[in-house]
Order: sequence, then C-alpha cells, then structure tokens
Amino acid sequence: MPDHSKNLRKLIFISIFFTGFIQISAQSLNNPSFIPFDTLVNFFERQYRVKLYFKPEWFKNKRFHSSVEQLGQAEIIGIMQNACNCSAVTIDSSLVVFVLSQHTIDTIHRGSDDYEIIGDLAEYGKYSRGTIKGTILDGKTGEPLIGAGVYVAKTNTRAVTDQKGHFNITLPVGDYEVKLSYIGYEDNTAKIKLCGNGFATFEIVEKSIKLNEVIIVADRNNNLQNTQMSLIQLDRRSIRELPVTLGETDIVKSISLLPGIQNTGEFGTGFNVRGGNADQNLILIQNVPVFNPSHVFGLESVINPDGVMGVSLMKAGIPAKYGERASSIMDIQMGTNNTDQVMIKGGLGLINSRLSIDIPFLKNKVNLLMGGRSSYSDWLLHRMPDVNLKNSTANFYDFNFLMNIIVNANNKLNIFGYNSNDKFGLNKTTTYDYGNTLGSLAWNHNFGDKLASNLVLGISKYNFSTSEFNAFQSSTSYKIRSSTLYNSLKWNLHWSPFEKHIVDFGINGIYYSIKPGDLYPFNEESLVESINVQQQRAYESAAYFGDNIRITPRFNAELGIRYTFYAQVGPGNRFVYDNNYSKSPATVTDTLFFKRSEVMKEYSGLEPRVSLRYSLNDSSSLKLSYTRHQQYINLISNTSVMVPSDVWQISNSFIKPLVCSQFALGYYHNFNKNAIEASVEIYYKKLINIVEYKNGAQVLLNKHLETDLTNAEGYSYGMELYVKKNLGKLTGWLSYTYSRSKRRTTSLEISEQINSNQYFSSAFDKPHNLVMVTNYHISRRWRCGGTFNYITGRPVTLPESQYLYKGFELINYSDRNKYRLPAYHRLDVYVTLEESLWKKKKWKTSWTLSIINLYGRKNAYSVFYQQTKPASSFNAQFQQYGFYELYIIGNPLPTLTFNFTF
Amino acid sequence: MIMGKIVRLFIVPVIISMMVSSCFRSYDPEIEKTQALLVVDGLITDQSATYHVSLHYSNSFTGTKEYKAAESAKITIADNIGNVYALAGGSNGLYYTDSTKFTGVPGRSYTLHILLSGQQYESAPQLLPVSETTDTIYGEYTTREVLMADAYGGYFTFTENVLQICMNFKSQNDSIQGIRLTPTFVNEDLYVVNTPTTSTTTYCCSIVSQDDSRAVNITDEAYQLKVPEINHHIVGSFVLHDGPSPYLQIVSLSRYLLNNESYRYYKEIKTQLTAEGKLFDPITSQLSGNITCKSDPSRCVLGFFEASAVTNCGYALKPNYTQARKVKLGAPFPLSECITIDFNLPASLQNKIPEWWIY
Repeated sequence: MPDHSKNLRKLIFISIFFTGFIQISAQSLNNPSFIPFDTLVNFFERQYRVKLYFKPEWFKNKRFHSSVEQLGQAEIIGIMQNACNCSAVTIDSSLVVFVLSQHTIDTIHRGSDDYEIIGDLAEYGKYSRGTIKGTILDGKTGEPLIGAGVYVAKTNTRAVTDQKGHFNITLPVGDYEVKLSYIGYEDNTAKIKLCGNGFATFEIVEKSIKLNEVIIVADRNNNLQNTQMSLIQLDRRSIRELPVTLGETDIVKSISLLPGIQNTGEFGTGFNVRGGNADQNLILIQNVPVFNPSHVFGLESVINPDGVMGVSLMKAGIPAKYGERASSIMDIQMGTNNTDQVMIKGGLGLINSRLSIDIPFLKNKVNLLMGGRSSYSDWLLHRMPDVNLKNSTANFYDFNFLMNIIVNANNKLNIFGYNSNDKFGLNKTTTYDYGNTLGSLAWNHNFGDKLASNLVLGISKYNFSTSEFNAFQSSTSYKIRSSTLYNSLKWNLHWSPFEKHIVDFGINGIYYSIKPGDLYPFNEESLVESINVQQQRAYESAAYFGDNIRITPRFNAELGIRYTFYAQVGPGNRFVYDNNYSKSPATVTDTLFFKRSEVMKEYSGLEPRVSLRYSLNDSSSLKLSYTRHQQYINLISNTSVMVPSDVWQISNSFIKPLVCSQFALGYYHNFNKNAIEASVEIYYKKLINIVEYKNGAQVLLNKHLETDLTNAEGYSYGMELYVKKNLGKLTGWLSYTYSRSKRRTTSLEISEQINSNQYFSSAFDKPHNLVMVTNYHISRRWRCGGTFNYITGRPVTLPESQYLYKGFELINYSDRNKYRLPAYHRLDVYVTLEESLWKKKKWKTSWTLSIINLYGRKNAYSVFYQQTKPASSFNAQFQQYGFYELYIIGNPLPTLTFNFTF
Repeated sequence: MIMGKIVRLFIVPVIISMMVSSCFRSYDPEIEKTQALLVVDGLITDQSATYHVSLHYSNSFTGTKEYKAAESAKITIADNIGNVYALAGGSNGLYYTDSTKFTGVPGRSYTLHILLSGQQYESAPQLLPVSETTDTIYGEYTTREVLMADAYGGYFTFTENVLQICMNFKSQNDSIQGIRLTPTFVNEDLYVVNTPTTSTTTYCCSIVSQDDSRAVNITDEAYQLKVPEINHHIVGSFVLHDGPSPYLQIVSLSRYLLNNESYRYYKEIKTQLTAEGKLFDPITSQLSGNITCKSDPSRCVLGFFEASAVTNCGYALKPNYTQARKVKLGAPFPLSECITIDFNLPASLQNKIPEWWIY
C-alpha cells in the first residue's frame, strides 16, 4: 500500500511552511511601509489642508501602516484617535484638535513643549539646514493669502508669500518662533522645530478662533519688503473689497482707481498706465494674453471675478521674466484651494448674471473650476416699442474653466480655457461681433527643493467681424473680418541656489499671425469685390535671467536682463516707396515678395531690469528701479477710444519696435503696525518709435497702412501719492496723481508732421487724478461704501476757424489736443446686505444695491459739432454750427444684484 | 407672471433710464482767436466755359460769417505740356479764365499758381479725367421716417411718401472713379383757377430742397464692385404730400467725374459735414487740401484746386412713371417767378405756356 498518508502529511507541512514563509516575507518586505506618526501628520496636513493639534507624547513611538495614506480624511482621523485613545474635535473644517477624553477644548493649549515639526523628527540632527516650503491660508476660507509676511527673528530672515500663498525659507535646523503677519488679521507667532526640508501650512483667521495660544493672525508689510516697486497685488479677499460697478466687482475698472492708472471713461476698452496707450499693457489670464479685455464696448471687463485667485499689476520695476509690452503687466491667476466639497457661486443682475462651480474630485487630486456669465438684454430689446430696437440685438457671454491636476508631490498640471463673445446688431442691417478665445496647458515640476520649473503652452485668438446688409440693395452688402492669433511656449525656472539668491531664468517663444482685415460679399447676390489685406506673421523670442539678491538684511536688489529677438516672416510682400516723396499708394516704385518663413525684417534688443530696495527701518523703505522694454505689436486706432475694429499691427520695415525706458523712485512708510500704508512714487518714462496716425488716416482695410502712419516719440512723468487704511470698520484708500504725457512726430516730411513736430499732449495727458475709495462695515451683515474720482479733462482737438468752399461752411481745426474737455468727477455708492453669516448654512446670499453717478454729473465723453441749419447744395447758405458735448451716464444709475454661494 | 411684473416695474425702467441717460448738451468752449488763413476754391473742367478761382480768408470760429476777399493776386494755370493761362479779375476775390483761350483737356494735368502779398502758392498737379461713364436715372416710390421737433422741445416721427431719384453709373474702363453730383430738383406745377367769369391757368415751378445728407453728393466709395458700375446711387428725392405729382418732375444735374485727390477731399468734407459725434467716429482732423505755400512751407493754406470732367444734363419724370428721360434744359427755371399762394403773378404770365416749361 502506497504510503499516501505520509505524502499527504508532507504536502500539508510544506504548504504550511510556504504559507507561513510567504506571510513572514510579506511582512518583512512591507516592514519599511510602517511610517512614523510625524510622517503621517505631514502627509495628512499637506493632503487635506487641515491643521492637526496634539501632544506629541500621545503618539510617541506610534507607527502606522503606509496603506493608511490611501484612506479618506475621516478614516485617518479615526485611526489616529484609536492610536492615542483620544477624541478629535474639528473646528471650522480647517483645524482638528486631539483631546484626551477627560479634557475640554478650553484646556487645550500649546505649552512650551508644543511646536510644529517640519521635516522628519526621526532625522533630526542628520542635516544642518532645512528649507521650509510653506503656505499661508485663510483659516476661514482656505484661500491662499498673497503677500503675507514671514519673519524669523533668530536669524533675521524674512519671506513674503507669492500669488499662491507659498513661501520658501531656509534656516539651520533647530527651534524657532515664526512670526506670521497679514493685513486685517491679528499678530501671532508659531513655534517650529525644523528637522530638515519639509512642508508647512499655516492658517490665519480673520476672527479669533480661541484655542488659547493657537491664534494665528497677521498684518502685512509686503509693500515694504518687496524689492519690486509700483506693484499692486490683489488676493481674493481684496478683490471682494473692491468697489462694485453695476452690481458686480470689475477688476479692470477697479484697478483704474489706483494711482498711476486711468480708464478711458464710462465707455472704452482698456486702461492707461503712466501715460501709456492701452495697447502697452499686457493682460495675462493664466499666462495667456487677452487682446480685447472688454464687453459691451468697455462697459464691463471680460474677467469673471468669481474664479480669480489673485491679480498682480506691475507698473515699474517689472522683472526680467515679463516683456512684450512697454507700460505694464497685469497677471491674473485663476484658481481655488477648495478641496472639500462642491461649491457653487453666482450672481443675478439686471443686465447679466454669472455662475461658477468648483468641484474637487479624485481624492482631491483634481479640481475643476468652471464659470460663466451671460447677458440677457436681447429679450428686453425685443420688448421695446421702437421698431429699430425691437429688431436689434445686443448680448455677450464668457465662459472659463480651469483644471488643476496634482500628479504627485513634484508635478502639477493646469489646463485652462476661456471663450467670450460680444454681438451687437442694429435693426438687422449692421452687426458687430467680436470675441476672445484663450487656452493654456501648464506643467509645474520640482527638481528637488531648490529648482522649480514652469512650462506653459498657450494660445490666444481675437476675432472681429462686422457686416452691412441691406435687403433692398443686397448688391452692396458686405462682411469684414479680422483676427489676431498668438501662440506661445514659455519655460520659466525658479532656482534658490543659495540662501541669499533667488534666481529666475527662462526662454519664451511667441508666434503672431494677424489678419488685419478681409472684405467679402455678404451673399451670392452681393457684387462687392473682395479685399484681402496682407496677413502678417512674426516670431518673437526672449531669453532672460534675473537674480533677487539679499545683499544685507536691509538691502535687496533684483537684477535682470532680457534679450529679445523679433522677425517678421513671409509669405508676404513689401512695397517700396519713392524716397523723394511722402509715402502714398501713388509713390510705390516696387514690390518685394517674400516666401514662407523668409525673414522680411528683424529686430533685437537688450532689456535691462534693475530694482533696489533699502529698508530704512521696520516701517519704511526706499525703492528705485530702471527698466527698458521693447514692444513689437501695436494697436492702431484713430478714434478717441479703443474700439473692437482697431487693427493690431506688428513691427515691420516701416514700423519700428516701440522702446520704453522708465526710472522710478519710491518711499514707503507704514503706520500703526501696518494698519495704514503710505507711499509716494515719482517716475519718468521716455518712449521712441511711437506709432501715430496721420490726419484723415484710414485704419481698416488699408493695404498701405504705413502711408497713413507716422513715427513719433514722447515722454511722461509724474508723482503718485497713496494712503491706504487696512484695519477697522472703515477701510479704503486715497490717492492723488500728478502726471504729464507728451508726444511729437519726428518726420521731415510736412505731410507726416503733426503740429509741425512740436510736442503736444497725448490723449492720456490728464494732470490731476484724485481717487477716494471707502468701505464701511456698519455691522456684521451690513456694509457700505463709495468711490469718488476727479480727473482733469481729456485733451481734445477743436475747431478754431471756419471758411467757405463751394458754398459749404467748413472747419479748420486747432493743433492736435490743444484744448481740454471739462474735468471729470463722479461719485458712486453701494450698500451690501449679507443675508446670513451662519457658518453651517449651506446657502450664503447677499444683496448689493449700487448707484453710479450719485449726483448726476454729466461728464463730457467727447465733443462734437453739428450744423443747426440744413445745408443746401444749390444755395450757398451759411450754416450755423452748434457745439455739443456727449456724455454716457448723465443720471444716477441704480443697479441691484443678488449674489449666492452654495 | 411675477417675473413679468418685476420686469415691468423695475427692470425696464432701469434699462430705459440707462438708455436715455447718455445724451448730449450744448457746450461753449473758449476758443482762441487765430490768424486768418488763405482759402483757395478753384475748379476747371473739360467744358468750354469760364472757370473761376476764389480767394478768401478764413474767419475765427466764433467770429462773423463775413469772409474777407484776397484781392490783387496774380493767378495762372499751367498744364503739363508747358501751356500757361493767366486769370483775370480779383474784385471780391473772384478770378476767372478766358473761355476763348482756355478749355480743360481730359488727360492733361493742371497746376494752379498764385502770387499774393509776396507769397507763392502752388497746387499739386491735378489730372483732368477722361469722361467715359454713362449713366441712367430713374425714380423709386418709397416711404421714409422723418424726425421732427415739436414746440415743446420734444421729438416725433412721421412717415412721408417720396419719389427717390437714383442713378446707375457704368464705366467703359476696368474701374470706375468717384463722381460728384450737384442736382437741382424742380416741380412743375400748373394751376387752373376758375371763377364764374374767368379761367386762369398759371405755369409755375418750385425748387424741392433736400435734407442734410445730400449736401455733398458723391458716390459711395465703400468698396469696389466686381464690375465697373455704381448702382442705385441716391441723388435726392421729391416729397409727395398728396401722392404722385400730376406734372413733370425735373432733375437738373451737373455730374463731375473726380480724380482720386478730388474724391478724397470731398469725402473728407462729407465726413466733416455729417459728423454726429458718435462714440466711434474717427478723431477730427484737418481736410487735406492740395495747395501749399512754396515760399513759406509752414504757412497753412486751405481749400482745393479741382480738375474734373463735367456733364450737364436734365431729366424729367412723368407722373406715375419711374423711368426718367433726358430733356434739354433751355432757359433756366425762373424761380423768382414761382407761384405764390395768392396767384399774384403778372398778367403776362397767366394763361401762357412759358419757354422753360417741359412737357
């Protein structure tokens, strides 16, 4: 008999052995996945942006299986509770306090043994220095705080948070007290134990969450500490406090209330910075420029404020990282730090409404933010009694989305998209249609602790079209289209090689493709001959290097250099004009043809950037800057304001790049622990190769546009006084700017001269600009405020003499911009009611009633003349001219808006 | 329903207040008084006629409407083959050519020379175009909205019936140039007054004035068509108060074929005369004349020296017919003898068909 039982026993023994072996091996293999409590805490705080408070001795020697990191927030807290036999109390969704069952919250405090562990406590002593990659958030909303201050007195080291609330600070390992400060919050100090490189998240709350010593509040002194001067930074909270226009916060219009910045009036696209044209401002949304930043011909900006995380506007001392425009850079970052739950925000207004949705998912590794606005004036127009208005159309919309993907601790992706459209149609005959489309893909990568990379692929397109259709005369109906396309690839690197150096360097590449205007027959019945103005193409590339150096604790310098190279390329042709005559279509002597990608004209240049900051003491500093910018694209306009049909024109053989050099000096002083900020800045700008239009210029569909343009140079200078109150029930600012801006043509040809080449006031030469903005918190629910603005009248050209020709009484005008419109001043007020401040209430709503132009000032927007008596082509009758001024908002204009958050 | 109430009670008034909020009002700026500038108004054509050049001075914008004449100037016109023609006159600033000695020749370029008060002025050479354009004229019965002011400062609109006169132009070349028209619209009227004892027939005519938009009547450049034609150019209109006129309607027309510079100048005039201060109107600018001061280039000179091919013709439209026929206009219309309501015309004109009456 075979010994089956023996074989079976062997088999069972072997199975048990191997099973046991496998289990033991598994444990051995996985043993390194048991992580210490400190590691788990760091992971948890980073992942969920929740601060944990506990006594370290409760978790001494406690280790947790690494798989716990895959669990959700609540499960991890549960495991921690079990490990220390404690309870956990969550406060404000942002703090979790562990308490032993016999303690109450009131007795929890941070004693002398309580400190934040940064790095791995197990490795304390292994490293001599550590870098803290920190974030400061609003403890109530979880939003990052821009410009919050970090100060370590022991090493006299300072840092300021960036647009995402991040800061880096390198210290020797050890124990420190870190002072955190932010405007509008109370002071506090956090104790840390730096063991090595690590992350830390601090939260500052506006109202005190009393956990005894655990109060983190701050005040802000970044206006003193930043090396860069003439910088305006707005975070989400600041944006909410901005003056309300038509019931909604308008970032562009509000920015124009700050010193050195002017808008073009109630109507009009864009804004002017220190005497520069509106096209000298680069407005970036998620690193991509927008070419027409206005809806409704300037009544509202294209930026939906709900999705904006932060705005930076640089008027001087612009770092080498930025270029492309001569006067300013407005950098708008969209985003959110919401990782908990779906949030819905919106507002219902009289003309338009808006809605945004914030969705975190995939264990908070992905966040999707979508927002949109739309007007509904069409259905109102269709209800008007007037036939022309009934058949007219006027509407706009904009939509944006941003997806943030956290791939891992060192890699993040952002995908951004934006689309807007405005459409106006008058009585179904004339229509205007324009819109922006933006997109960007950004990859953020950390090469270790010292080097970070940001690679952005971007696209921006602006389209404009107009059509003229006459049902009774369809043979002459036509359409006109133009477009501007901008493609870019930008690679920016941020490097902290040594303690006192922060280096930014990188390369940018841009491709422009502009269709200035094409005319088409409207339909098959139209006999209009097509006109195609030559498409323009160009490449612009740049390489830059900048170093922010802490020379001494009081003296900082930011030195940079940017080299740009520009080439206009074919296919295309270039006219050659007779040098003996002024350029005109009649003086073309030759036409040169260029094939695809052949260089038609190239330019290059160096753009040095120097910014210096000297801290006189803790509450005051001096700053100085010099920058040089080259701009290769201009907006050609011969109207008093930018209009959608204005043509973008790149530099070519006839139009040289605009070059701007600016010196600026500023003194900054804060009072009462930064509760009041004050500054005075003076500046001088010199510009060459300004593009001016000749008298009677035709801008649209002009195949010889260079014959209607002339070269000019100019300068502007000014002084800006600014005082801002940040704390208390009453907040706001007062600013006064004195500035001048002059131009002159340089051509020897009389037909190309304006005012015989003498200096004349530019359209933005408005010497006095006074702004007062106030916000008053009447109670926790009621808030009111107002804005008063006074500006010297805009320069205008007026008739000075009259004469007869063929029986018509005609007008001869003065030198350009010799006269001025009456001064502009206006008072806007608002009152807001927050319906509920209950934290736990899901729906939060508010009502805002605002009145624009409270005392009904009729501010002249432009001046024109009209004949008051009909002219006859037969009889040489003298006509009387009447002078009139046009105003846009002549009466108080109330609006009511309902805002909600869910 | 509730939404509708909200709209009616609140939203619509606010929207309307926005729309009427923007407006314009009188403005009285302080304008500097400036030096008077020389104004040149000259025209030569291809017709055998006396050509005129007018020299006057401009006046301050807020000054009187009297324009001082520039007398005692020496003016000549030179063509591009060396001929020079002197102008005579000078009184009241009017200078004229001798029609027996000088007639403009299409295809030649002409330059105006002026010597006045020690200063030399010269025009850019002007090409006199060759007239190779044909035209047809016709009428369209249509309606139009008219805006009128009432006695209380308000406005109202009403609809009126009009006979709109249109022209088509066709060129024998590949392209068509700009055309300027100076039309005169005349209604022929016949009145028969019957009394128990007499019957009086009176033949009259009356001018039909045109609205502002026709002040400078030039063809629309807007955009070239695929064929060298300009169609449906509106010349003017007859208002039909009581329906179509029972009698002829006459259009007396001078048609100027313009060169490029002249066309551009008239276009600028039209822009200036019809400017309404719209938000997106181009910024005001000087009219680009073609006269410069050679002896002092910094001296500004206004006006224009024009060389155009002209055709003078008349058209008549029969009642209820839209097709016009060319008519020869003999004696000019005696507008000073037009009918008055009380028929107080000289007996010599009663019951008598006048020479100018067109059938």
